[in-house]
Amino acid sequence: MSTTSFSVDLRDLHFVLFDQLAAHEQLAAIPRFAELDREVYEATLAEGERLAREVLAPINAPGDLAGCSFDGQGNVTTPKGYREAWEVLREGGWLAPSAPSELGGSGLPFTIHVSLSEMLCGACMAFMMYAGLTVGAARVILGHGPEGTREMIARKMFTGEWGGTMCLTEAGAGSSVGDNRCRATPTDEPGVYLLEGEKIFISGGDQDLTDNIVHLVLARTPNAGKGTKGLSLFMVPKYEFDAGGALGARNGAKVLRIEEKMGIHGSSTCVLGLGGDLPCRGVLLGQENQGIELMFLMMNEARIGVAVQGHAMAAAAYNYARGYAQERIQGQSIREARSQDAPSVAIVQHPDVRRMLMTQKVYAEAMRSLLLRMALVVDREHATEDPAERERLRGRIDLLTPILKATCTDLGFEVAVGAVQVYGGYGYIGEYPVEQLVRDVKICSIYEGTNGIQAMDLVGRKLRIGGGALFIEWMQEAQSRLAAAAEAGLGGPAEAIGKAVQLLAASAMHLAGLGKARKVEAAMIQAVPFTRMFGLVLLAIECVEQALVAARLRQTRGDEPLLIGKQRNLEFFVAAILPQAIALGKSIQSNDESALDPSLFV
Amino acid sequence: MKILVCVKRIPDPDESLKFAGGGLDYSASKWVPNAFDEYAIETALRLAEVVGGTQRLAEVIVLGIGPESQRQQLTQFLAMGADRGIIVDADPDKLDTATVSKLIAAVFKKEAADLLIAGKLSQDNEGGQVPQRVAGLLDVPQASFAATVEWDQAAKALTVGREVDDGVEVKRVPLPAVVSVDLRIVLPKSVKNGSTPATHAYQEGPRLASLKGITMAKRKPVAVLKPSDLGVAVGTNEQVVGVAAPPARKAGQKVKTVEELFEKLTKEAKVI
Repeated sequence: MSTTSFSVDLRDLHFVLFDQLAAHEQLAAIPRFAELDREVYEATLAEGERLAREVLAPINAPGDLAGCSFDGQGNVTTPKGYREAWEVLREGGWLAPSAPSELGGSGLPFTIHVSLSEMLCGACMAFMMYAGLTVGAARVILGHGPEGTREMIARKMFTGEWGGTMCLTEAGAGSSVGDNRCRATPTDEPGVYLLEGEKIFISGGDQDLTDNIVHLVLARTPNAGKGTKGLSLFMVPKYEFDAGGALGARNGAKVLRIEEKMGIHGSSTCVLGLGGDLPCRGVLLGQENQGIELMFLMMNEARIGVAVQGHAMAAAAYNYARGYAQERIQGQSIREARSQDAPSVAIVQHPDVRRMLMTQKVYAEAMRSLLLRMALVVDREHATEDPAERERLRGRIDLLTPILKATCTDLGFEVAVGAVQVYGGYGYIGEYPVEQLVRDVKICSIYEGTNGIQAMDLVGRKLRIGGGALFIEWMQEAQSRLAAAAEAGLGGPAEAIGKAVQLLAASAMHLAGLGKARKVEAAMIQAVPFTRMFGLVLLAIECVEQALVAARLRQTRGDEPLLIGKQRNLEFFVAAILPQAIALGKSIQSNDESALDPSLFV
Repeated sequence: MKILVCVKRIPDPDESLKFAGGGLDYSASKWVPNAFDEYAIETALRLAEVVGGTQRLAEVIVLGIGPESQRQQLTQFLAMGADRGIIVDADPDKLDTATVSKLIAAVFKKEAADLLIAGKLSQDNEGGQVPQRVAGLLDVPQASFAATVEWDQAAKALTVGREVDDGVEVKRVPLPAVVSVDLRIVLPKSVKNGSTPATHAYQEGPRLASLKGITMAKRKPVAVLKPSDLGVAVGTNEQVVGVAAPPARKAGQKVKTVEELFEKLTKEAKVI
């Protein structure tokens, strides 16, 4: 491992998927995946790792440096190497791993898709955004696109022949998507509207990777109500096409400019003009005023996808930092500080560097465990035919998605910043890879619903569903998992984490009490701290589970460093990180409203 | 046309070696295919496939020798595009180069293959003997260390560019034959099969398996044979006497004058 070469922690992925979650066994019970097995999954991960390392990692830094360019005529050119990489991923079926194979996807479980995303996003997040958005848009079209052509369009997108985007944001309508002003006027042709307006922050709004681009655009029909309930969703292609997919005239959705950004320079972020110099035709998806509902159908998975990005960047950053700390020789061992001729040692020998690496390791590994557990729930939810079971699984996904999105993206940033600190001065300069990770990952806490929005979704909606039923069900399961851990000999850590769960429940009750007392602002001021606390508790439980599995495996596999590491992860988490959750719990219940004082920030 | 390709699994050469009990400790090793075997399968697939068409000019069979359960590397070659596999189920500790060569030759005959493509050596013990031995056992022409291959379909012959010390030797071998391949065989224009346009530039290096290839690989037939099925008695005449890490390098000495250096070189080191 070199200080500047990208690497993937395949062994830990194997540990989580096969030893801890027994994903191959759980997935084998799903008819669609019955023919797949551990060997196929391992081969997929091995090849995915090679793809990440050999195809995507080499274009990451050059793409960051060069960025996208815009010709002023609506056309974006992606960085050098992106087109070739797109072809490699396209030909190999890597763009849409979990899309149905009969529609050009590769038919793998979402769990394996998430595992691949960790590697591919970690190697080049900016590039993978084109794939992620295309697949997300294709799923909406497959569900609600025009009958007769929806499968043709989805196939072209899953195979990477066409691209896709999501057009929600407008100037003045970002988090408040209900303030959308884009207009859609019906034409004589049924289902076809003329769109006018301007969308901003459109990732992949134009690119030179695909023959066509299908934009999904939120707009307001005449006489529609205000707010999100008056929005409709339209399919707006860059080029018109016939029933067979043959391309026709240029449509009036055109990029007006691209943004200069902090990071993800290889991903074009566009201002998209609708109906400027050419009429912009859009086909209504679903019914009028159903736009937000349709968008939200894929929102959970999109938000899990962003959580995966956050984790992917954390994992990449940690791997870089660990490699660098082993290679970089500087300073003497603290034990020999007084000796004039003590040899210089690798910085990994220094206690503070070890503390930083430990923090990064615990977060990266616990997030991996948490996300893959969630991905398995998504696979099971898609597969089950039992309505009660589906309802239960959907509830779990609904509850945890905002927490995962916020936690993994915030921690992704923190871990990347920590990696810069391990590199010291070299971390701050562009010659080494970690400063780019900091800039790239920052967007994850902002887009796809800011982490503030996630927290409001959790506290304002998810906790209140069924009078807190989702939370109570989660808590009961968490307590039984902790009880099982205590039974298996991890009583100390299980008890400490159990207290944090209790405090989390008390904090939730406290916020509910504020809500009942109509102190909504006082409750919402604690939404982000509560989400953070919840996230830390989730990660703590993953650490216990992993330590249990590792203890079991050590009886047969011996003291492998990976297995010892899981025990240490748990010890470190309980000692050094869990107290942060306890502190947050106290802070949430403090009734402090100082920030709400209207005389501030004037 | 039938092309036989061998695959050997080896401990990942990028990982550091562990020593235990006078030998190497492979208990925690990550196993990978020998890189030269990856070049061999890439060569075979470039010969067999017609770029831009669906026609296949040859059947590509992957052969692995070792425990039946350890077939991940063979599956990987099937995922890359080989048609079927053969495993000769045998204990690797009871195999030496001579026995392995006999087994490969026996499979070659059984299959009535036209071409064996093998890596020029395996990266773990770097013996570099197997392809040559197989050619001898089969009494067929061979071209070793191939850097380029051109297939003349009509004449049933290969033109092989071999990298030798003083340049590139070009050899024409009639089929059936044995070819062992070197690193440069996977350059973009090293392999020409007479049907893919000669101007076609392949992606450099052994190809990545497609996701479809990976999921399909399990459905491809893999025959499992015993050495006795092939009439070969398993045994080894090789014996490992001991394996040890090279001694650590000793610290150097600093000398103050040229005279002192000369003194040390002549009296102590006795090199001049």
